[in-house]
Amino acid sequence: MSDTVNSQDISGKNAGSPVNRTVITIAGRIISLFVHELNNHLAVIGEHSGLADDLIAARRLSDADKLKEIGQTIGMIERRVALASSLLKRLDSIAGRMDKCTTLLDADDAISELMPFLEKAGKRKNIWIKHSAGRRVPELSGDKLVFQCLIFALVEELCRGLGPQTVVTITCDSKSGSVIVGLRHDLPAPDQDDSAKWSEDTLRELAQMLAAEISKTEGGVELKFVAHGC
Amino acid sequence: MSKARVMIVDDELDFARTLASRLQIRGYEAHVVESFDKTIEIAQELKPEVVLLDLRLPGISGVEILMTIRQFCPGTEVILLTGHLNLEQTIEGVRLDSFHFIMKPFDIAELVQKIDALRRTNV
Repeated sequence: MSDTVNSQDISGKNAGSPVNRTVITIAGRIISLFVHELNNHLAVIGEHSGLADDLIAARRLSDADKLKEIGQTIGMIERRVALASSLLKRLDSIAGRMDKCTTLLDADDAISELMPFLEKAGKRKNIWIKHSAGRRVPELSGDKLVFQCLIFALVEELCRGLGPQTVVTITCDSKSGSVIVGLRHDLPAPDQDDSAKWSEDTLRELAQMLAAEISKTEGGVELKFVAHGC
Repeated sequence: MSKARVMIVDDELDFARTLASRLQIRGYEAHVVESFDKTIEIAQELKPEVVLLDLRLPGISGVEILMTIRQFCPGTEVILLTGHLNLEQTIEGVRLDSFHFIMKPFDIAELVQKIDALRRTNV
Protein backbone atom coordinates (compact mmCIF):
# COMPACT_ATOMS: atom_id res chain seq x y z
CA MET A 1 0.00 0.00 0.00
CA SER A 2 2.63 2.50 1.01
CA ASP A 3 4.53 2.07 -2.25
CA THR A 4 1.66 3.51 -4.22
CA VAL A 5 0.65 6.35 -1.95
CA ASN A 6 2.10 9.83 -2.06
CA SER A 7 0.93 13.14 -0.66
CA GLN A 8 -0.73 14.07 -3.93
CA ASP A 9 -3.35 11.53 -2.93
CA ILE A 10 -4.29 13.50 0.19
CA SER A 11 -6.55 15.76 -1.83
CA GLY A 12 -7.40 13.12 -4.41
CA LYS A 13 -9.05 9.76 -4.77
CA ASN A 14 -7.03 8.07 -2.01
CA ALA A 15 -7.71 10.73 0.61
CA GLY A 16 -9.44 8.18 2.82
CA SER A 17 -6.59 5.66 2.90
CA PRO A 18 -5.25 4.90 6.41
CA VAL A 19 -1.82 6.38 5.73
CA ASN A 20 -3.25 9.60 4.34
CA ARG A 21 -5.62 9.88 7.26
CA THR A 22 -2.56 9.61 9.52
CA VAL A 23 -0.79 12.40 7.63
CA ILE A 24 -3.91 14.57 7.90
CA THR A 25 -4.23 13.76 11.62
CA ILE A 26 -0.61 14.72 12.31
CA ALA A 27 -0.94 17.89 10.22
CA GLY A 28 -4.04 18.66 12.29
CA ARG A 29 -2.07 18.30 15.51
CA ILE A 30 0.61 20.64 14.18
CA ILE A 31 -2.09 23.18 13.28
CA SER A 32 -3.63 22.79 16.76
CA LEU A 33 -0.27 23.60 18.39
CA PHE A 34 0.07 26.57 16.05
CA VAL A 35 -3.39 27.87 16.99
CA HIS A 36 -2.60 27.52 20.69
CA GLU A 37 0.69 29.38 20.32
CA LEU A 38 -0.84 32.13 18.18
CA ASN A 39 -3.64 32.49 20.71
CA ASN A 40 -1.05 32.96 23.47
CA HIS A 41 0.56 35.78 21.51
CA LEU A 42 -2.85 37.38 20.92
CA ALA A 43 -3.68 37.11 24.63
CA VAL A 44 -0.39 38.84 25.55
CA ILE A 45 -1.00 41.53 22.91
CA GLY A 46 -4.56 41.99 24.18
CA GLU A 47 -3.45 42.37 27.81
CA HIS A 48 -0.66 44.83 26.95
CA SER A 49 -2.97 46.89 24.79
CA GLY A 50 -5.47 46.91 27.69
CA LEU A 51 -2.71 47.91 30.10
CA ALA A 52 -1.79 50.84 27.84
CA ASP A 53 -5.44 51.98 28.03
CA ASP A 54 -5.42 51.58 31.81
CA LEU A 55 -2.22 53.61 32.08
CA ILE A 56 -3.62 56.42 29.96
CA ALA A 57 -6.67 56.56 32.21
CA ALA A 58 -4.67 56.28 35.46
CA ARG A 59 -4.60 59.45 37.52
CA ARG A 60 -1.92 58.38 39.96
CA LEU A 61 0.90 58.51 37.37
CA SER A 62 2.74 61.53 36.01
CA ASP A 63 2.84 61.99 32.24
CA ALA A 64 6.53 61.02 32.19
CA ASP A 65 5.84 57.77 34.09
CA LYS A 66 2.89 56.99 31.82
CA LEU A 67 5.00 57.52 28.70
CA LYS A 68 7.74 55.25 30.02
CA GLU A 69 5.36 52.43 30.90
CA ILE A 70 3.34 52.80 27.71
CA GLY A 71 6.59 52.69 25.71
CA GLN A 72 7.49 49.37 27.37
CA THR A 73 4.01 48.05 26.69
CA ILE A 74 4.20 48.97 23.01
CA GLY A 75 7.64 47.30 22.83
CA MET A 76 6.11 44.06 24.13
CA ILE A 77 3.26 44.28 21.63
CA GLU A 78 5.77 44.72 18.79
CA ARG A 79 7.81 41.71 19.95
CA ARG A 80 4.74 39.51 20.13
CA VAL A 81 3.51 40.62 16.71
CA ALA A 82 6.95 39.70 15.30
CA LEU A 83 6.84 36.25 16.96
CA ALA A 84 3.30 35.60 15.73
CA SER A 85 4.28 36.70 12.24
CA SER A 86 7.30 34.38 12.21
CA LEU A 87 5.09 31.49 13.31
CA LEU A 88 2.58 32.28 10.57
CA LYS A 89 5.34 32.19 7.95
CA ARG A 90 6.45 28.74 9.14
CA LEU A 91 2.93 27.35 9.00
CA ASP A 92 2.36 28.97 5.62
CA SER A 93 5.52 27.31 4.37
CA ILE A 94 4.29 23.89 5.54
CA ALA A 95 0.70 24.38 4.39
CA GLY A 96 1.69 25.88 1.02
CA ARG A 97 2.88 22.56 -0.32
CA MET A 98 0.45 20.08 1.21
CA ASP A 99 -0.71 19.17 -2.28
CA LYS A 100 2.77 18.85 -3.82
CA CYS A 101 4.19 15.45 -4.65
CA THR A 102 7.71 14.12 -4.28
CA THR A 103 10.51 16.67 -4.28
CA LEU A 104 14.13 16.90 -3.22
CA LEU A 105 14.34 17.92 0.39
CA ASP A 106 17.01 19.01 2.82
CA ALA A 107 16.40 17.16 6.09
CA ASP A 108 17.91 19.91 8.26
CA ASP A 109 15.82 22.61 6.56
CA ALA A 110 12.63 20.57 6.93
CA ILE A 111 13.34 19.96 10.63
CA SER A 112 14.22 23.65 11.24
CA GLU A 113 10.87 24.64 9.75
CA LEU A 114 9.12 22.27 12.15
CA MET A 115 11.06 23.24 15.28
CA PRO A 116 8.61 25.73 16.85
CA PHE A 117 5.93 23.04 16.77
CA LEU A 118 8.25 20.32 18.08
CA GLU A 119 9.37 22.62 20.91
CA LYS A 120 5.76 23.31 21.80
CA ALA A 121 4.89 19.59 21.77
CA GLY A 122 7.86 18.86 24.06
CA LYS A 123 7.13 21.75 26.41
CA ARG A 124 3.79 20.21 27.34
CA LYS A 125 5.77 17.49 29.12
CA ASN A 126 8.57 19.80 30.26
CA ILE A 127 10.88 18.22 27.69
CA TRP A 128 13.28 20.33 25.66
CA ILE A 129 13.61 19.60 21.94
CA LYS A 130 16.79 20.77 20.22
CA HIS A 131 17.94 20.59 16.64
CA SER A 132 21.66 20.35 16.11
CA ALA A 133 22.37 21.10 12.44
CA GLY A 134 25.91 20.07 11.66
CA ARG A 135 27.64 19.67 8.31
CA ARG A 136 25.45 19.73 5.24
CA VAL A 137 23.94 16.34 4.41
CA PRO A 138 22.85 15.14 0.93
CA GLU A 139 19.27 15.80 -0.15
CA LEU A 140 16.53 13.19 0.03
CA SER A 141 13.95 12.40 -2.56
CA GLY A 142 10.53 12.35 -0.92
CA ASP A 143 7.53 14.23 0.26
CA LYS A 144 8.52 17.00 2.66
CA LEU A 145 5.12 17.03 4.41
CA VAL A 146 5.26 13.30 5.05
CA PHE A 147 8.86 13.69 6.28
CA GLN A 148 7.79 16.42 8.70
CA CYS A 149 4.77 14.42 9.87
CA LEU A 150 7.02 11.43 10.52
CA ILE A 151 9.50 13.52 12.55
CA PHE A 152 6.64 15.13 14.50
CA ALA A 153 5.01 11.78 15.29
CA LEU A 154 8.35 10.24 16.30
CA VAL A 155 9.12 13.15 18.64
CA GLU A 156 5.65 12.96 20.21
CA GLU A 157 5.98 9.21 20.64
CA LEU A 158 9.48 9.51 22.11
CA CYS A 159 8.40 12.26 24.53
CA ARG A 160 5.52 10.12 25.77
CA GLY A 161 7.95 7.78 27.51
CA LEU A 162 10.36 10.45 28.84
CA GLY A 163 10.42 12.35 32.10
CA PRO A 164 10.49 16.12 32.73
CA GLN A 165 13.68 18.08 32.00
CA THR A 166 14.87 15.56 29.42
CA VAL A 167 16.58 17.06 26.37
CA VAL A 168 15.85 15.42 23.01
CA THR A 169 18.39 16.33 20.32
CA ILE A 170 17.65 15.85 16.63
CA THR A 171 20.64 15.46 14.33
CA CYS A 172 21.18 14.72 10.64
CA ASP A 173 24.24 12.94 9.34
CA SER A 174 25.30 11.10 6.20
CA LYS A 175 26.93 7.71 5.96
CA SER A 176 27.59 5.43 2.98
CA GLY A 177 24.93 6.89 0.69
CA SER A 178 22.39 7.26 3.49
CA VAL A 179 21.07 10.18 5.48
CA ILE A 180 20.62 9.34 9.13
CA VAL A 181 18.21 11.39 11.26
CA GLY A 182 18.79 10.67 14.94
CA LEU A 183 16.57 11.51 17.91
CA ARG A 184 18.48 11.08 21.14
CA HIS A 185 17.46 11.79 24.73
CA ASP A 186 19.93 12.66 27.47
CA LEU A 187 18.06 11.09 30.42
CA PRO A 188 16.95 7.48 30.65
CA ALA A 189 13.28 6.81 29.96
CA PRO A 190 11.23 6.01 33.07
CA ASP A 191 8.60 3.28 32.96
CA GLN A 192 6.62 3.59 29.76
CA ASP A 193 2.86 3.91 29.86
CA ASP A 194 1.00 1.72 27.42
CA SER A 195 -1.04 4.35 25.65
CA ALA A 196 0.92 4.84 22.44
CA LYS A 197 -0.08 8.01 20.61
CA TRP A 198 1.22 6.70 17.30
CA SER A 199 1.48 2.95 16.80
CA GLU A 200 4.68 1.37 15.50
CA ASP A 201 2.78 0.27 12.40
CA THR A 202 1.71 3.85 11.67
CA LEU A 203 5.25 5.14 12.05
CA ARG A 204 6.64 2.37 9.84
CA GLU A 205 4.03 3.04 7.15
CA LEU A 206 4.97 6.72 7.12
CA ALA A 207 8.65 5.75 6.93
CA GLN A 208 7.91 3.40 4.03
CA MET A 209 6.36 6.28 2.10
CA LEU A 210 9.83 7.84 2.24
CA ALA A 211 11.65 4.54 1.67
CA ALA A 212 13.16 4.95 5.15
CA GLU A 213 13.91 2.49 7.93
CA ILE A 214 13.22 3.15 11.60
CA SER A 215 15.32 1.54 14.29
CA LYS A 216 15.48 1.98 18.04
CA THR A 217 18.91 2.86 19.38
CA GLU A 218 20.28 3.11 22.87
CA GLY A 219 18.90 6.44 24.01
CA GLY A 220 16.68 7.17 21.06
CA VAL A 221 15.47 6.43 17.58
CA GLU A 222 17.18 6.53 14.21
CA LEU A 223 15.77 7.01 10.72
CA LYS A 224 17.79 5.89 7.72
CA PHE A 225 17.00 7.40 4.30
CA VAL A 226 18.58 6.74 0.92
CA ALA A 227 20.38 9.91 -0.15
CA HIS A 228 19.28 11.30 -3.52
CA GLY A 229 21.39 9.96 -6.39
CA CYS A 230 22.75 6.99 -4.39
CA MET B 1 -16.73 44.73 50.43
CA SER B 2 -12.96 44.83 49.87
CA LYS B 3 -11.54 43.62 46.55
CA ALA B 4 -10.66 39.95 46.14
CA ARG B 5 -7.29 38.29 46.59
CA VAL B 6 -6.50 36.66 43.27
CA MET B 7 -3.74 34.23 42.30
CA ILE B 8 -2.84 33.81 38.62
CA VAL B 9 -1.23 30.47 37.72
CA ASP B 10 0.18 30.67 34.19
CA ASP B 11 3.56 29.86 32.68
CA GLU B 12 3.13 32.65 30.11
CA LEU B 13 4.66 35.28 32.38
CA ASP B 14 4.22 38.25 30.02
CA PHE B 15 0.51 37.54 30.06
CA ALA B 16 0.20 36.76 33.77
CA ARG B 17 2.18 39.76 35.02
CA THR B 18 0.28 42.17 32.79
CA LEU B 19 -3.04 40.73 33.88
CA ALA B 20 -1.91 41.07 37.51
CA SER B 21 -1.03 44.74 36.91
CA ARG B 22 -4.44 45.38 35.39
CA LEU B 23 -6.22 43.72 38.30
CA GLN B 24 -4.07 45.69 40.77
CA ILE B 25 -5.02 48.93 38.99
CA ARG B 26 -8.64 47.89 39.67
CA GLY B 27 -7.91 47.41 43.35
CA TYR B 28 -7.46 43.63 43.50
CA GLU B 29 -4.60 41.94 45.29
CA ALA B 30 -3.08 39.88 42.47
CA HIS B 31 -0.17 37.43 42.63
CA VAL B 32 1.49 35.44 39.86
CA VAL B 33 2.71 31.84 40.09
CA GLU B 34 4.38 30.41 37.00
CA SER B 35 4.48 26.70 37.75
CA PHE B 36 2.28 24.20 39.43
CA ASP B 37 5.08 23.05 41.76
CA LYS B 38 4.73 26.22 43.80
CA THR B 39 0.99 26.69 43.46
CA ILE B 40 -0.27 24.81 46.52
CA GLU B 41 2.45 26.08 48.85
CA ILE B 42 1.85 29.70 47.81
CA ALA B 43 -1.94 29.26 47.77
CA GLN B 44 -1.89 27.97 51.35
CA GLU B 45 0.17 30.98 52.38
CA LEU B 46 -1.76 33.67 50.45
CA LYS B 47 -5.21 32.08 50.82
CA PRO B 48 -6.54 33.55 47.56
CA GLU B 49 -10.29 33.72 47.17
CA VAL B 50 -10.00 33.13 43.45
CA VAL B 51 -7.37 31.28 41.40
CA LEU B 52 -7.09 32.07 37.69
CA LEU B 53 -5.64 28.89 36.28
CA ASP B 54 -4.09 28.21 32.88
CA LEU B 55 -5.37 24.80 31.91
CA ARG B 56 -2.22 23.89 29.99
CA LEU B 57 0.75 24.06 32.29
CA PRO B 58 3.83 22.05 31.24
CA GLY B 59 4.16 18.59 32.70
CA ILE B 60 0.73 18.29 34.29
CA SER B 61 -2.85 18.02 33.07
CA GLY B 62 -5.40 20.68 33.88
CA VAL B 63 -7.58 18.10 35.57
CA GLU B 64 -4.78 17.05 37.94
CA ILE B 65 -4.23 20.69 38.87
CA LEU B 66 -7.91 21.23 39.55
CA MET B 67 -8.17 18.13 41.73
CA THR B 68 -5.12 19.17 43.77
CA ILE B 69 -6.45 22.69 44.32
CA ARG B 70 -9.81 21.25 45.34
CA GLN B 71 -8.05 18.96 47.82
CA PHE B 72 -5.68 21.46 49.45
CA CYS B 73 -7.63 24.73 49.09
CA PRO B 74 -11.28 23.68 49.34
CA GLY B 75 -12.67 27.21 49.82
CA THR B 76 -10.91 28.66 46.80
CA GLU B 77 -12.85 29.35 43.61
CA VAL B 78 -11.10 28.48 40.35
CA ILE B 79 -11.56 30.17 37.00
CA LEU B 80 -9.92 28.32 34.12
CA LEU B 81 -8.08 30.46 31.60
CA THR B 82 -7.79 28.65 28.34
CA GLY B 83 -7.18 29.11 24.64
CA HIS B 84 -9.42 26.21 23.76
CA LEU B 85 -11.20 23.44 25.59
CA ASN B 86 -11.40 19.92 24.35
CA LEU B 87 -14.29 17.68 25.15
CA GLU B 88 -12.39 15.54 27.63
CA GLN B 89 -11.34 18.54 29.68
CA THR B 90 -14.87 19.93 29.54
CA ILE B 91 -16.39 16.73 30.86
CA GLU B 92 -13.76 16.38 33.59
CA GLY B 93 -14.19 20.03 34.58
CA VAL B 94 -17.92 19.61 34.97
CA ARG B 95 -17.40 16.41 36.93
CA LEU B 96 -15.12 18.24 39.34
CA ASP B 97 -17.73 20.95 39.81
CA SER B 98 -15.06 23.53 39.11
CA PHE B 99 -16.15 24.75 35.83
CA HIS B 100 -15.91 28.47 35.63
CA PHE B 101 -13.88 29.37 32.63
CA ILE B 102 -12.93 32.24 30.38
CA MET B 103 -11.42 31.96 26.94
CA LYS B 104 -8.20 33.80 26.13
CA PRO B 105 -7.98 36.50 24.88
CA PHE B 106 -10.75 38.02 27.01
CA ASP B 107 -12.16 41.34 28.04
CA ILE B 108 -10.96 42.43 31.51
CA ALA B 109 -14.47 43.64 32.39
CA GLU B 110 -15.81 40.14 31.77
CA LEU B 111 -13.13 38.61 34.01
CA VAL B 112 -13.70 41.14 36.80
CA GLN B 113 -17.43 40.42 36.64
CA LYS B 114 -16.77 36.68 37.03
CA ILE B 115 -14.37 37.19 39.94
CA ASP B 116 -16.84 39.44 41.77
CA ALA B 117 -19.77 37.11 41.10
CA LEU B 118 -17.88 34.10 42.47
CA ARG B 119 -16.85 36.05 45.50
CA ARG B 120 -20.42 37.18 46.20
CA THR B 121 -21.54 33.55 46.00
CA ASN B 122 -18.99 32.60 48.63
CA VAL B 123 -19.74 35.38 51.11
